[in-house]
Formats: sequence, C-alpha cells, structure tokens
Amino acid sequence: MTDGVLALHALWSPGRGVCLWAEDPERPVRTTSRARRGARPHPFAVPAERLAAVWGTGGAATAGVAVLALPSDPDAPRDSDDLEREEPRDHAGGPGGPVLADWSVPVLELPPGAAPPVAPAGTRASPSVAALRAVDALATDLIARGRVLPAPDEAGDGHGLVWHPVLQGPDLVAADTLAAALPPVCRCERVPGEDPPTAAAVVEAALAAAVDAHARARITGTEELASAPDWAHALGAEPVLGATSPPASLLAGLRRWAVVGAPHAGPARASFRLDEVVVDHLGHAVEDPEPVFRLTFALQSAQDPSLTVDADTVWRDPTALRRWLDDPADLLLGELGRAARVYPEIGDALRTPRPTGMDLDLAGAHHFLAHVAADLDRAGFGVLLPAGWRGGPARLGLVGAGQAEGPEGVVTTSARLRRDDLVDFSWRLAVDGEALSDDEMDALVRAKAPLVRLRGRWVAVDPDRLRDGLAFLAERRDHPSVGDVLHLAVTHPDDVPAPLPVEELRLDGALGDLLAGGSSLEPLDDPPGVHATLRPYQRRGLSWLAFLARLGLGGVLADDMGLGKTLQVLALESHERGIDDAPGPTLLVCPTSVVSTWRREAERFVPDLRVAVHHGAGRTDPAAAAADADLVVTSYGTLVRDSEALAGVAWHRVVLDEAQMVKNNRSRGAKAVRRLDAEHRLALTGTPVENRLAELWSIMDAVNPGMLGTASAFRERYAVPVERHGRTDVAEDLRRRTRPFLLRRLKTDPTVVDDLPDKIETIERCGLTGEQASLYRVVVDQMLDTIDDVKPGIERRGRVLAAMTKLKQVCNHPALLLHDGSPIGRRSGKIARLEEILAEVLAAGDKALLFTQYAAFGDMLAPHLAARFDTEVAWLHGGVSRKARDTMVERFQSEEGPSLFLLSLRAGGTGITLTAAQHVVHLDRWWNPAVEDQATDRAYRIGQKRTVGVRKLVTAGTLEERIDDLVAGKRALADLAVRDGEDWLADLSTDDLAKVLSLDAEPDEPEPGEEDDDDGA
Amino acid sequence: MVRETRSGPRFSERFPESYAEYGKRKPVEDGLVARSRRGAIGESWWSGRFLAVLTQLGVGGRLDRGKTYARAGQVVDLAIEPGAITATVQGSRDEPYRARIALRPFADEAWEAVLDALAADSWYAAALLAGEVPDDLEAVLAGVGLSLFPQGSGELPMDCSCPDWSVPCKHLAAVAYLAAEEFDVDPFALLRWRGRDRATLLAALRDRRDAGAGTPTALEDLLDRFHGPGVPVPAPPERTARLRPDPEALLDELPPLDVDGVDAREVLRPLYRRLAEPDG
Repeated sequence: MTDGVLALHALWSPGRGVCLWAEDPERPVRTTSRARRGARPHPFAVPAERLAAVWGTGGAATAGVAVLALPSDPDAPRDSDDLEREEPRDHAGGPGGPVLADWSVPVLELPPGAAPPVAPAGTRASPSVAALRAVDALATDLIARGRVLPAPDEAGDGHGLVWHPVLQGPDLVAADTLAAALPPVCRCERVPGEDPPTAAAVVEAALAAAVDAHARARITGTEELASAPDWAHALGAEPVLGATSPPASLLAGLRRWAVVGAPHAGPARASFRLDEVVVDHLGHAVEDPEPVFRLTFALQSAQDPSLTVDADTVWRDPTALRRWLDDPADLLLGELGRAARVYPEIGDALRTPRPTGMDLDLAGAHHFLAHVAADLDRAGFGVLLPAGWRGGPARLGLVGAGQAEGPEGVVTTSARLRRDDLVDFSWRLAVDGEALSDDEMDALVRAKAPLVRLRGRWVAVDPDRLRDGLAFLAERRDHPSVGDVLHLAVTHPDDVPAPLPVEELRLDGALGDLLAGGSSLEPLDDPPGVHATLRPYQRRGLSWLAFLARLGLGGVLADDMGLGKTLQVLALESHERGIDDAPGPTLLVCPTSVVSTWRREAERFVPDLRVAVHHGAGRTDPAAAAADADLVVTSYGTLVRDSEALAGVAWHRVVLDEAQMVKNNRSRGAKAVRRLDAEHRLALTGTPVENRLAELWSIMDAVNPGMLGTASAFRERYAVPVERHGRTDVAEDLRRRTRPFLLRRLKTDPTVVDDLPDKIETIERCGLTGEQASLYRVVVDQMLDTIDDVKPGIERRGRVLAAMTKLKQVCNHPALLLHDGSPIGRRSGKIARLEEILAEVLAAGDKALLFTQYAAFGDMLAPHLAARFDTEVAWLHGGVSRKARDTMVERFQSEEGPSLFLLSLRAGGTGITLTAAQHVVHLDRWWNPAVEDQATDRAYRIGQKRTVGVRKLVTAGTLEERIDDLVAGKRALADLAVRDGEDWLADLSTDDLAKVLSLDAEPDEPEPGEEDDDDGA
Repeated sequence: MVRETRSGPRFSERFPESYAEYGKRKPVEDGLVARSRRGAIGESWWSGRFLAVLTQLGVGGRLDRGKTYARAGQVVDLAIEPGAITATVQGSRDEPYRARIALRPFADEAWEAVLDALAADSWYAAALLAGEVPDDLEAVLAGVGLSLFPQGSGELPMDCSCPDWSVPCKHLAAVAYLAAEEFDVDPFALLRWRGRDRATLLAALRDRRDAGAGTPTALEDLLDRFHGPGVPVPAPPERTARLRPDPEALLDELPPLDVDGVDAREVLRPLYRRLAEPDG
C-alpha cells in the first residue's frame, strides 16, 4: 500500500464556523521548525492544496490556516486515534506524557452553517466529524418541527434577523447530550487572548449557525416568502433591494417571543431508580452470592418523565444543567432532603459531598420495593423499577393440586370414584398466581429477606403472610376425601379456612374432569331398562348424573327445553336400579301441570319402574306409597301440604322438576324441599337464572345446601358485582365454581346440535282446574243423557260433534263455553302450562308459533299473553286481510318482530313461511295428524336451520288424551282409520263414547309455589 | 389592659402624653398577621429552641401578649438580616416603634469553617433545602466552637423605641414571635441572622462542591481522550411523516405581535409550513 489511510477531522472555529482538516500517515512525523515561540507547522497535516480534493468539497470551502492546540510530544503532535501507521509510533517520549502545544494546520472553512460532509471512501473520519454532523442533524430536525424563532441579529449590525433554535424539553437534553459527546478536538482552535470555548458553547453556536443557514435556505425563493411583507425577507438568504431595517415594534416583539422560546425543561423532581448490580464500577461481573442493589438518585423533569439526569451528572457537570434548571444541585439536594422524611435511610447516603445513590442489600431492596416505593410515589417523587418489578408486595396465594388415588395408588377413573375416596392432594404457595416449585419454596424459606428471584424477576412478598402460608402448608399434609376436595373447589376463597386466598385447584383425572365440566367422563351404556335410544349428548348427561350421584353431590341439569331432561333422569333411575341393590324411592316434585306427564313418560320409557303419584284428593300416606314404588311423583303444592309426611321418608333422591319453582328460597315450596331427607338431590330447569343471580343460588342451595355460602354472602360476592357493576371476572369465577354441578346444553351447542333431529315432538299434558272439571262433567253427562233420544244418523252425529267441541273448549278455557267474556285468570290448566312453556321460550330469546282451531280462543289469548309477558303477540285469523297477513309474516320473520305468533289453524296452517320460529305449540288437537304436521311445517321448512320443538298440549284424563292415545296407537293405520276431521268419533257407540269422553282426572290444585314466586306479572 | 405596661413614676417623666393618647394600639392595615391563630408558637424544634432561649431570658410571660399583638397584625414589617431582626411595630402612638433583636453574626473565618463542614456532608444542605434545620447542625457548629442559638442575654441585645422600659416589651415579644414563625417556614432565616443568607450560603457550598469534583472541561485535562466522544454521539433523530409534530405549534404559543397592522405570527405561518416540508 502506497497511500496510507487519511484521518479526517472537523472542528468548530468560533470565528469561522466548521473547519475541516486531515492527517496523513505518509508524511514525516517530526517538524523541521525550530521555532519555540508561536505555532509550528503541523508536520503530518494534509497540506492546503490537497485538502479540498481529499474532502471532496469542491469549490464550496475556503482554504485557510488555523492554530490548533493538540496533545503533543516535545517534537511533534501525537497521532489522533484514527490515524493508522504501518509502523506505530513510540509515544514513550517525555516523562511527563503529552502536553498541549500549538500547531498551525491547513483547514477548509465551510460556508456558514454547513455541516462536515461524509468522509469520502478510502479515508477515515474521526468522531469529531460525526459529532458536528449530529449537531447539524438536530438543527435540521428542529427546523422541520418548527422549533425555531426569528430573532434580532444581535451579533450583526442590529438591523438583521436570524433564525434561532428553540431548545425545550427533549431537545434541550439532546443538545446537552451532544455537548457531552463533543470530542475536545472539536474546540481546540487557539485564538489569542481567548479561552477555548466550552463544549456547550460550541454546540450552541454550531446549532445556531446551522439552524439559521438551513432555515434561510428552505424559504428562499419560495412563493410564501415572495408574498410576505418586506421585513420577513430578512429571514431569507437573498437581500431585498431597498430593504430597510426591521421595524422597532418587530424587534421589541421578537424579544418578547424569545422568552417563550427560552431553553427550559420545566420543573423537575427527584427520582429514584432501583437496579440490581450485575457489574461493578470496573465493568466486572459481580459474582457475589448475595445480590446487591443500587438505588440511583436523579433529577427528572416533571413534565416529561423521560428527561432524567442522574445525580452523578448533576455533580460532574454543574454548568450544563444550569441552563435549564435554576440550580440543579440545590434542587436535587432539597428533593433528597424531602425524600428523607419518607425514607430516612436516604439521610445516611447524603453524608457525602456529592451523593449519587445508595447500595441496598436484599433486605433493603425488599423494604424499598414493598413499602418505600409506593410512599415515594405518593409523595410526588419519581420511582423507576426495572421491567418486571413493581412496587408493593407480590400477591401470595395457595394452589392446590391433587388426584384421586385408587387402592393401589392407581389413578381412579370416573366410573369408580366415590365420595369417600382419598385424594393425593398438596398445597403449594403461589406468587402472583404462579405455583412455586419445591426449590422455589425452599429458596423462599431460606431467603434472609422475602425478596426472591422467581423466573427471572425479583418478587417481594409480605413476610407475615409468607410465614402464615408456610405454617399452613406444614399443617396440611393430610389426605382429604373426594368430597372434601370438591367442596373446596366450590367454596368461596373467603370461606376457606386458609390464611391465604386459594387461587387455583388443579385436579387431575376424573376429579379434574368434573371440575372442568365433566366433558370427558366415560359415557355409560344405555341402561337396558330404558325403552328408548339415548342421543349421544343424553348419554353424556346420564354419565354426569350418575357420577354426581355416586359422589353424593347434587346437580342441576339445565339443558334447553326439548333436549330430554326427563329421559335423562329416568335413565339415571333405571341405571341405578340395574346395578345397585334396590336403592330407596326417588321423590320427584314437579308443577301440577306435568304430574301426569311424568307418570306417563316413566311408564313409556322405563316400564319396569314402579311409579306412584302422590297428588290429588285420593292420595294416601306417602310412606306407604314410597314403600312399593321406585318413583313417587308429587306436585309442589302437595309437597307443601304434606311436608311433614314427605319429610319423614328416607328418599334415595329428590328431583326438583322446573326447579325455578324454588327460586325464591323463602317460598313455602323451597322450605319444604329443604326439609326433605334425601341422599341425593337433582334440579331440572331450562332457565337456571331468569331474572336474578340469586335464583341460581336458591337452586344450587336446594341441591347442595350450603355450598355457595349464605344468601347474603352470595349477594355480596357475586350478585351485586355482576348485576350492578357488570363484573365479568366475577361472573366467570361464579361460573367456574358452579360448573361441576351444573350441566347446561343449548340446542345451538355444537356438541349437541349434530345429535339433534330436525324436529322434536312432545306431548305436553296439562290438568284441569276445578271449574273446568265440573263444566266438563256437565257437558258429558248432558250429552250422554240425551244422545240416545235421537236416532243414529246426522242428528246424533251433530250432537256428538257439538258436545266434543264444547269439551275441547272447556279444556282450553271455561270462558269459551260460557261465552261470558269473563277474565282468563287462573281458570285453565292448559293456559297455565302454556305460560310455563312460553316463559322458557322467551327467556331463551326464541320465537314460537301457537296454533289453535278456535278463533274465539285466539281472541282472548292474544291480549292475555301480551299482558302476561309484556310482549307483542301477533294474531292471525280468518278476518285478517291478505295484505295485513303478509305484513305480519314479514315482521315476525325479522329480528325485531314479535316473538309470539298466534295463528288460527285455518288461516295460518298453510302457505306461509315462518322459519323465524323455533317452537310450535298446538294449543288444541286436530285429530288428523296431517293437518297438524302441515301447520308445524310453517316453521319447519326450508330455511330453518335449527331444531324445531313441537309441543302438543293435551289435557290429561279428557277426551283429548284418549283420542291422542288412539291416534298415536294407530298411527300406522292413521290413513285408514282416521278420516279427515273428527267425523269418525261420532259413529262410536254410546258406551264407547262414554269411555272416550268421561273425565278420568282430579282437577289441579292451586300451586302454593306459584303464588309465592309470582313476580306480579 | 394597658395598665400593666405603664408601671412606675418614670413613665410620666419620659412620656408626658395623656393616658388617653397612649391608650389602645392603633389598627394596622396590611400588617404581618401571625399565621397561627391559636395554640403553641414555634412548631419546629429550632424555633422552639429559639423561643426557649427567649424564655430563659425572661420573655416567657410576655410572649402571650406578643402573640396577641402579632395576631392582630400590629407588626408592620419585619426583616431578618445578618446580625439583627428589625421590625416596625404599630403601638398606640401615631408613630410606629422600631424594634430590633440583635445577634452577633459568626465571623467570616468561622463561617468558612462551617461551610467546609457543611459541604463535606450534603445531608445538611439537603435538609435545609427541604425546609428543615438538621438536628445535628448544632453539633457541626459546636465542632468549630460556635452555637446556632444565643447562649445568654449578652448575646441577644434587644431594643425598642416604645416608652416601655421593660425589655423585652410586648413589641419585641411580638417580633420574636413572628420571627419564630419565620424560622419555622424558612430555616435559612436562622442562618441569615447569623450572617449568611440563603443565596450566599448555597453558592459557597456549591463552589466547594464544584471545586472538589466535576468533570474537567479544560483541554489540558482531556489529553487522554482528546479525539474521542465523552459519551456516544447520539444518532440523528428519526422521524416519519406520521410522527412529525405540528410545525405551527410553537407559533400558537406566542403572543400576538403587530407589525404595520399585520400579526407577525400570521406572516410566519406559511413560512413555518414551508420549513416543515421535506427537502426536495
């Protein structure tokens, strides 16, 4: 290599601005000059004639000479750091090391405000170049952000204007940083009679020059400047002909503006930064086994907390900060004195001339984190903790983990798990919700201060709570039973007798399944005694019920209506009776309206089950009935009345159907339920929560007494936060706690929906009120008395049909027969059942179609339902115009339309599409199934994406039920035997007619539960 | 209520005015009203110590009357100066009285020693700046043979232009009371009385601090890193168009400036927009 790499330098000359020079490693080192006075020529500086070519400045720069004070040996300047020679020089010259000596150096003077150019390839720029370029970059940035102000040119003749930088906030700190970075060589020009400028002065001057030059260049020649008044042209680069000096008012105003633009960083406060010391002041890694922490004092801008200057800097460079704070040192000391009141330990750290911070051991750091940090923050000081740290102690809690043990220590499967099985269970401490390992717990126990490093971060724990927690762990090494653990799982943390909150229970195996909602329990086979095929989700429900039953835990089966809760319960009864030795009888409590439905469903699905009905006037001693029965069905009304006797029976199980009947836990029904003695309790409901969360508490408390705590505690912990404050986290907590004991599947549930048929038909049996029953008997008797007075034929047939119509109307409502316009009241068992069904439909947000064949019934029902549910009820009958009908249909199909659509079978049975409805209710029977199917198809047709639930209301013990049996039994023959309409009935003999028509049922009694629970709707 | 202050025959000799003339104190507008309305005076330990000294000197019984005076705002002005607390107190005469509580300032050499001790331990300055006289300041002063508080009546000459020859009179008591309150709020006042005001004291401490430390800025001291940056040279700020602040924000902060009927801010506004335009 022939040419060495040139080292390029830049400096700020107070008189000339930025100057460039360079060193050449090829030039001889020693000076030939003997001159001792004045500056000698720099021996290896690049000479003036080559400099412009070396720097590539072309003609923009002016050649000149500057006297620079450089570190020197007696006979030559020292090399700069960036000059590389093939043979390094030996600097072991004088005994005193280098001294400053003056050298005259050829320089290039750049135009005012210009920045050093980028060093050309093949050369090497020293940091002096980068430093002055950085000053220029700040100037450019200030201009672009408008952080500049015009000012009178005090340095000039007083008549010009200059652009001044405005340094405030972060910009001021940026300028200070530039000053701190500025290499001394940038300010080494020797001017006779003057001290070299400080770094801050150089940055200030260079910045001002660059701002003025760049801003002028930007606006020169622009339209904006051309259209500005004359005085503004003084801010551009080209003099305006004939321009006079700026008006005095302007100069005075600009001086006022300068106050606004004066450098300031705003008020400051002390801040405290805590760090773990990982390297010592020499940069060596600290290997002390005891961690050391450093609390660093600093001044922090109150307006921009990112502006922080360590105390070290305040002491080291006392002049720099004084530009933006009146007296940074006094401010810092005063702040530290103030902080010492909050944190007296600071006082000791101040016992030096220039305090910068204090060292803390583990205990000290813990004290700071756990107590002091928050106090300082409250007192208005800044507190900076490393990422991952936070003020205040970490949250300590307990996490329980366990799994059920089999006899051989084998994990027990759900099929075997029993309530009294022991659980291999252990508690662990958890910090901020994370369970600690044994090692971590040991570390915490051994720690001298309760500040431990956990997973890469330091955590402060409250020592008292830690001690309590450890004591609790030491005591609790027992093996709780499955029942204990499950009880724990649902108990609110406040009720757990532990010194720390229980954050989580982790249970594996079957217990975990249960806590997770029982989704992966082993499904049971269909019990052989059940004459039906369970759908997959029903089989899962059965497994869940059986699992809970074995553990003696109450459950709430809250499947959507139509998903077969009845069948699942009956299957459970059958399953148990198939495997166990004759468990005791089960008491099933339900609304009066479905007592007979239960009996019939039981007979139909599980014929082997011995069912007794304890209901109505002729009922006997329940103990006697229970002795010979597997299932005793009773109503809530009867339960209240016979509470004493029923409480005296040892029941295997109590099932509460339509358990919302006990949602008011002060009702007589709920009290009577609580008195019952049963090994196991189940509740069935389609709507576990209708209005208030308290209803859920009542139902859960009925099946698992005490599990959710007292009603008032529940209200305080869950109901108020969820209902009043909309706290979803609390709702989620409640859901988590109740999940093991509440199974709710929706028809839309993807795990259910595939199992569902397109249409589910149910016969809903309802009872008669006393008024209905006596009217019914009168009609039958009258008809039978007079029927033989006429000859068989048209007249007899007419009488029979008239009587049947009357009977069906009585079954609907007495007022239909009496034509008296009397109020609906509670006079119809069918309407009572209908209201129950619709309450569920509406609670689920679904829509329903209601078909009747009697327009008069629809006329009275439509306003009644509208008032009862405070909702719009569409009513389509023969008198509705075609146009009005279309509007009705369209509205019902839309989202906002009514939820209930009442239709007369004739007007609405055909031709229209009502797929918005998911439910169809046939209020009265039309004996031809085809006609009903056709009506049903309004909802169940192309466009319907969900399962349609079809309910046919049948009044038990009346001709409705008997004809339904006939139709169902002869379904296969329906086309043959059942002609259109009801004519075939009229041809029956009088004896047969008597059998078909006579009433075979006790009237319903009023429901006490309903009275109590009526919300006044 | 004025009776007790006029005791002895010498009164009429010195002040021939009638009793009626002498009578009640005259109300003062904008007098220095004591902050504390009731209860003890001198909340801090140091003003407590000051008052304790006064009590030792026999002022105790009169302080309460001074308090009443001070609370009524009879002290027209009060200055705590090196060597003396001086005040103007409105009494019953038209002409207010001049009251003065003197205290010998520390000698300059003594102050040098005190400042050396204080500069070596920033706790003292920190506490003073935080509004508190550090409780071990007396020990520091004792170390150089000084005492913050006067040790005896000889060190605390008081005088008042009022006709009451008892020293201290109620006017002096009122002044002492207000001075104690002043010490409560501004502990530097105590040191000013002893000869160094806050600014001088802090500047002296600062000089000592700076002398003992600080980064050398003289080129001679920087020969070992003459070409290198003191801290890393900061990278140029990066700004995307999205993050660029409003170039007219500063203009909006400025007061209006009328030049020949046009607001200079509005003249500059288009220029500032041009300044914000990226090059090219």
